[in-house]
Amino acid sequence: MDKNNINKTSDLQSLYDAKLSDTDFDKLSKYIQGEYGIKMPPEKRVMLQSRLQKRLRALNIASYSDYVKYAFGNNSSEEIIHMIDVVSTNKTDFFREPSHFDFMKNEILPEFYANSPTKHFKVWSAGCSSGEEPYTIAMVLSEFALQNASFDYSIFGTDISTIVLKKAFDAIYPLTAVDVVSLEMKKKYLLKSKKKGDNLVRVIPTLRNKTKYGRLNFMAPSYNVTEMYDLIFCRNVLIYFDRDNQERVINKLCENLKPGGYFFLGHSESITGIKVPLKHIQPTVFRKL
Amino acid sequence: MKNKFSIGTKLLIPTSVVILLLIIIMFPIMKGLKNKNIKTQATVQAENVRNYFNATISASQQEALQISSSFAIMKDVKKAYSIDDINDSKHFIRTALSPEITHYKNLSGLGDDLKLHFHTKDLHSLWRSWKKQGDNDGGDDLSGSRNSIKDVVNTQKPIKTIEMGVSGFVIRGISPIISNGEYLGSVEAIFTIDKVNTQIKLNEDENLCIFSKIKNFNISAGINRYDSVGRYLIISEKKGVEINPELKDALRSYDETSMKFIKTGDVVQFLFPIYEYEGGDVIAVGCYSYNTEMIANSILSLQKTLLIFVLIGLFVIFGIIIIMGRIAITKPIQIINKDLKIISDGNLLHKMSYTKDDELGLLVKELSLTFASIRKVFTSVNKANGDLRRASEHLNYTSQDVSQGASEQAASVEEVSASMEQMSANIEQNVSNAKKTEKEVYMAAAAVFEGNKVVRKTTDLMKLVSEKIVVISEIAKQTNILALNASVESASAGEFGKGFSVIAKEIRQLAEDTQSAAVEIVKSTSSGVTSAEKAVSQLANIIKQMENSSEMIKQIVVASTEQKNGVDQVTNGIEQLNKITQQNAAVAEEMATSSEELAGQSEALAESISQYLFSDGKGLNEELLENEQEKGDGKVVAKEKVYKETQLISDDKPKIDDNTGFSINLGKSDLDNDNDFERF
Repeated sequence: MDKNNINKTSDLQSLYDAKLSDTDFDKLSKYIQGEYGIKMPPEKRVMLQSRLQKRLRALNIASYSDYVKYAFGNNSSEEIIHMIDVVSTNKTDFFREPSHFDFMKNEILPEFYANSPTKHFKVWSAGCSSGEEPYTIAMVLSEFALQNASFDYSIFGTDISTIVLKKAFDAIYPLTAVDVVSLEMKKKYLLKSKKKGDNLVRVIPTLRNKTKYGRLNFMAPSYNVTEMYDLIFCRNVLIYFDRDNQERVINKLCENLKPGGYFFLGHSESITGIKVPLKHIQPTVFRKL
Repeated sequence: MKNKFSIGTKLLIPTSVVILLLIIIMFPIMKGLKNKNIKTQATVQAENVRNYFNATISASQQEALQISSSFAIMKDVKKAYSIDDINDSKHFIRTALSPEITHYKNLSGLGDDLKLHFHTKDLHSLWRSWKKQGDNDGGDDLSGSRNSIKDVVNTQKPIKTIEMGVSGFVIRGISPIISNGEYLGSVEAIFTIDKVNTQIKLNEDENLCIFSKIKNFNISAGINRYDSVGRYLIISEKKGVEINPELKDALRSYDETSMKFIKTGDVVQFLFPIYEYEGGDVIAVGCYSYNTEMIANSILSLQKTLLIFVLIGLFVIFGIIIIMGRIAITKPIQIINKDLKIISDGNLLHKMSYTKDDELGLLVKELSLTFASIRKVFTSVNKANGDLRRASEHLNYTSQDVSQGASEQAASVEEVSASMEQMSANIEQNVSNAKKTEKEVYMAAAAVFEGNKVVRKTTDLMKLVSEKIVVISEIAKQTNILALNASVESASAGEFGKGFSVIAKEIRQLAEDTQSAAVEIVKSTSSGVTSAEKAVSQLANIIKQMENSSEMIKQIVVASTEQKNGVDQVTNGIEQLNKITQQNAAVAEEMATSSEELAGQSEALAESISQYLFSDGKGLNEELLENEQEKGDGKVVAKEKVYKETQLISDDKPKIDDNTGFSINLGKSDLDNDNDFERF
């Protein structure tokens, strides 16, 4: 720490007093919604202001209007990425909505294993956040592999936020996050930190090798994904989009889903009223026509 | 130790500067003094010369008068004036006075300088003693030029005067020649300026010259032989006089009343007026010049000697002061400084060594007391800071946790909020679907009802048909009987009735067919009617069911609408909660940042305090914070920052290629960086 502390404190004070103006909010809201699909109605204004504060602090900018100028200025693309990082909501857990994993284990995998010539199961976790979902999938698939010879899998994780993607890539989590993981699985698939008091765990390299990550904006005209997948997880990410965009996104995702491949949505999502090539199997479980 | 601003230097520099200034000032002062001295001295000398000059002139005038008056009373002179013929008179006087003149020449020592001029009473020259015979030695008219002789004629009294004449500057003493009360004429003795000049003895560096205005000359003849300076002519000069501009200017502006001082380099000149006679007019201007070089040099050397002595004296005095300063002030201060350096380097326990009983000793005593107070302050600050550090570190971690938790909470609530909105949207979709279904059901029911109507109509028609069929059957029956009768009749008609019997057979057949057809129709119709009636009742059921469905759908719509309202309420509530949660998350981050800063500042304070040694014994605190090490001199090592899971292991920033589709370069693979981790 240096003698700049006094200045920093008063700068912080003015930063915390700063407010997001109507025009700036409009501009940002239109942009985020248009380019990234994330809904940003007036009710979300406080949330946006709170989340952008992180960027103001990082850049040492004291007012939102200055930030908006900077973000849409010459260094646009870099700052926009950071902005989307802080604006996007990333909430995820290990073994979240376990019914999906049970269904996968009991219904999807046996059928696949019986019918597939390659026995290589490809999964896409669209909206993978900080990696809990892909690694959960990996654990379940590894378990299946133990029981079924020559079964292999690969997992592709995408998200809009680079921060969480890095976390996914590093695969380091607090001990509390893996409370839901059974001790048996912990022993098999996790490493714990040598430093006492750290309370950190890391996914073992074998699993990590089976995953790869990339940044994907659902609103992009083309996803540049070449693989065809057997199962796509798209859980609790479409809730941030409006209906038209939901339809668009699901359709695009389905382009990379094999016929008969499965599609998982989040617990509050549905395809009612939207035209997609999926048929309803059970709530939040769908199959490509 | 040589310090830039030591006291010695402080004393030395001003004194050196003063001395330097003195020296610098001295020169003009000395020069001024010298000049003043010179001027004074020269003035005195000039006055002396002037006085002497004037006195000499007076004396010469007096001598001339004496000589002329001596001659004026001579018998031979009076006799000469009684001769009428001027030439004869001249001749007589020449002859008669020759021995007297020779005698006077020898007696006075004047030699041929003795000049006598006799005048007639009618202002004619009688005889000039120094002229050769026949060589303008007399007889000319003097009235035009010799005012002095006129005066003598008028006053019949002797006069002394100086005149500018043909021979220049001449001193005259004119005596009237009176016999028995009768004015006969006058005689004058004449001295040139040479007489004066010879008497005035001047040194090598002195000079005397005489100027006279042109207007003073009573004769224009002979003026050309003199050099001129402005309106003045140079009448006489001891040695050659340099006419410099200053002299020219001075002469031009000279008022001929008092002595005027002119300085040209080393030469000083004085102008002074020369009077015809005491109380008379100014006839000439004397110029005494004096080359002051030599006295200047002597004065200068005297001054230099004085200066050197003064300077030596000053140096000695200042030297003594400086040395004394060194001993009494500089050395003790150096000792004190050594001690102070040790203290300022951090050892506040160090004792100062200067203990003499003077002002500096008092200063040291007070300093020691001051340091004791400072030590006390350090101790209490350190203790307080130790507590603060502990508290703020704790606060720091806690608020980091709170911030982390708040962020997660905010994300959760945001997700719930989004989910609720999704649900709300789904319900709305359901409601709209239900409403659509209701419409279709209603339309279907209406269609069914219409269908029912049609079926009823069909039934009625069928009943009508069956009634009609009965009639037809009857008719067929009748026709059959008729045909039977006809065939009977035809049989009875024989040949002519064959055709008729065929026809009757046909008719009978037809009637039978008609009857069986009618029976069929009746069968079908009645089953049709039955079916239709079944259909009607079933349709009636269907309609009922449809109405039920429609009712249920209505209820669904109502219930869904209520549900949506409920969900909307919850959504609103969640949204409110969400706003607050987001704000809390931001505030929690503020707190975390502020507390981090506080912790940091507290640590910084501890760092700076740790540079100092201020309590006896090792270490600063009895309780040290965890993970701190102490060194012998009391310095502490700062605690290492704990790895926070928000930090990333890899330092490489992910590079984003483009904003379409996916692309990312996540940096170096750290698959082999599991060194910090171990198996469960």
